[in-house]
Amino acid sequence: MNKHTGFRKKISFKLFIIGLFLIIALLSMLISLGLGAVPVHVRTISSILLGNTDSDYYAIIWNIRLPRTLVAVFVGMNLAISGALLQGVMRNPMADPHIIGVSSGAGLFGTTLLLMFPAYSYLLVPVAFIGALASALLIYMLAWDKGVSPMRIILAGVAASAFLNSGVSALYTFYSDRIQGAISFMVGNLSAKSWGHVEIIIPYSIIGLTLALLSAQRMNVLLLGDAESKSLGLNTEGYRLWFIAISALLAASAISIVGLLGFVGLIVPHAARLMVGNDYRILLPASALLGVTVLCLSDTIGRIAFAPIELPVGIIMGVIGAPFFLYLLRKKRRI
Amino acid sequence: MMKDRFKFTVFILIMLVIVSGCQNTSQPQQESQREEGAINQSAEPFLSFKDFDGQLVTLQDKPQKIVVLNDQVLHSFYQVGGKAVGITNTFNIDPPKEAADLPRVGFMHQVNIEKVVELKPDLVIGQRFDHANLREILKEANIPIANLNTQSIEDIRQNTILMGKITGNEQKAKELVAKMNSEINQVIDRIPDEKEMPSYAILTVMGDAAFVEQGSTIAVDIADQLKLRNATLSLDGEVMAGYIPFSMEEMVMIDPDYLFIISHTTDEEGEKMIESNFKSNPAWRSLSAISNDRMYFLPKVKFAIAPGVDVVDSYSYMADLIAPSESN
Repeated sequence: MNKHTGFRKKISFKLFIIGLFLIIALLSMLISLGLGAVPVHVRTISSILLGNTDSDYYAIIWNIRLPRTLVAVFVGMNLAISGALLQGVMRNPMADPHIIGVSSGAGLFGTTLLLMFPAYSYLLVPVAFIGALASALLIYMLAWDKGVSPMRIILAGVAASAFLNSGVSALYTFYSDRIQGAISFMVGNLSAKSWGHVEIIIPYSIIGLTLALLSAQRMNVLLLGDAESKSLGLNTEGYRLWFIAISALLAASAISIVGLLGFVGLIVPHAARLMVGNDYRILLPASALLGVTVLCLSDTIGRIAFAPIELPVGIIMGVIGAPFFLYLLRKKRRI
Repeated sequence: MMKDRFKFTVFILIMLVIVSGCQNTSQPQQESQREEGAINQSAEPFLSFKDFDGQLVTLQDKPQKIVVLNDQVLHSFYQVGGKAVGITNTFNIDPPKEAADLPRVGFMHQVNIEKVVELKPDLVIGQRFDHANLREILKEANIPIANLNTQSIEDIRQNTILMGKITGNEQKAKELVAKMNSEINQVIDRIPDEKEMPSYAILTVMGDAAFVEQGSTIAVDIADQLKLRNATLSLDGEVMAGYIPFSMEEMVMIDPDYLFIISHTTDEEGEKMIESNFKSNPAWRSLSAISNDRMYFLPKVKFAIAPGVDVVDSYSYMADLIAPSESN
């Protein structure tokens, strides 16, 4: 009886935390919509969102700020879930989408296009997406030996990423005069994101999030270790591939749109874990919501701190997010 | 059972990826169709042209409010009689006096779209490739963008004529270009014809890295027209966007008569970089250009940043180095 009450209390508390994360994420979206280089009154913003197309600020709110906020939402969510899944699969808190080569593959393909074939830069999203998935597949194949162990994936990932990144460095050397055009992609940038980008990322986000949440309980089993999860009837090899595929899909869709945004996939799930624990049924939605919050707020700060000069979101996340993460880490025992 | 379900879901996932991929790649086609549609609707546009990105730009009326994102054409834009409503924040070039107090829209390579749209421009002038990513979002706000290029002397001519057309001052632009060509020819005539053209190499310093300029750039074009021979053309290897990473061995091998140095950061930093990295190197000191005191630092504002129709000053600057006039 006492056990049941304690368990219910635990669940209630975790649901309360998720609710709190949801409210904070929604608030951060509103802040992202409400603040920018051009001051727009809240009433004007709400009237535009409710269909007023005659406002002078319609183009700014509807065609610039809203799609940018939505891209931030989906990118934050995708990278955070991708990182959370990989940290589980690898049983390594330092794992993130870079581990499976998604970033280095997207980086090499994207940079090649931007520097060698700049006239085709409109193909950046599909090309970077193909690069991200191709490198993830390459690393998985390199790590394969009658199955894949987390350690082999990490080592194959480090080797393949080093190889791909050296390709990026070579391109920077040969095309030094065009570097400026590729820098925003390499840093991660939400500038100039439009409805087209929202349309591209939505299906990946919905599919990835749904599949991840549906598989959350199996991740909990996988975390018990290969021997124990096999004894419970789980196809560990199959599910490891399954989670890596979902991670790759989510990360590739995000990175191909905003560029090589680091930090979110590594630190957001880790921070969420410090707050809600290791149960993936709770951790995944918590990571997703925290990812939304971090990206929306970071981008807003980047837009307003030195307006009209914009700072790429990747820089802001590093400056603000890293100290917050370190604070959480120090408080870990109290959480 | 579980295996089958797993395979099925993976198959569905792959299919969705393929479908989404097709959706991604079909976007540009849809865009070009939309653009063509918009053009067909126009009766007689004020101006229709292809910009340096190869994109068709159609202006129904003469643009009244132009935002110039391209720092390097701003002076030329004002010289042909243009007036901007917004410009970028810049470290490189001081804007013309008339534009000094205009609203700023962020850096050239990190444009603040909100500020651009707030100014309600009917045309945005950008830089080739760098601002291609703004095309879609500006199209949603019904703002055309024309991207220009500023790499070579021919680009300067074409930009000036195009901006003359845009501002309705084509005749003035043509006169400026004709005057520029005539003054350039006067400078070229100052250079004596020699049996064997002296050779040169242009060393570009970018931070702590150095490159030699092989392809068509403003500095290379000027040196070539001033009857010098680009020694780096004898180097094997593919031209990589006009620049080749610097190699001391290759420099010793081609041993140019003149060595010009341009810094892409600041002139002072370029000089410091050469001082600390090369000056004490015996191989460097063995170069003819160094031993004959023919190494020159070229000012960034005259050779690295497109100086517009004032480029004749850049010709004069280099001509004075290789064939000093009597007055000098």
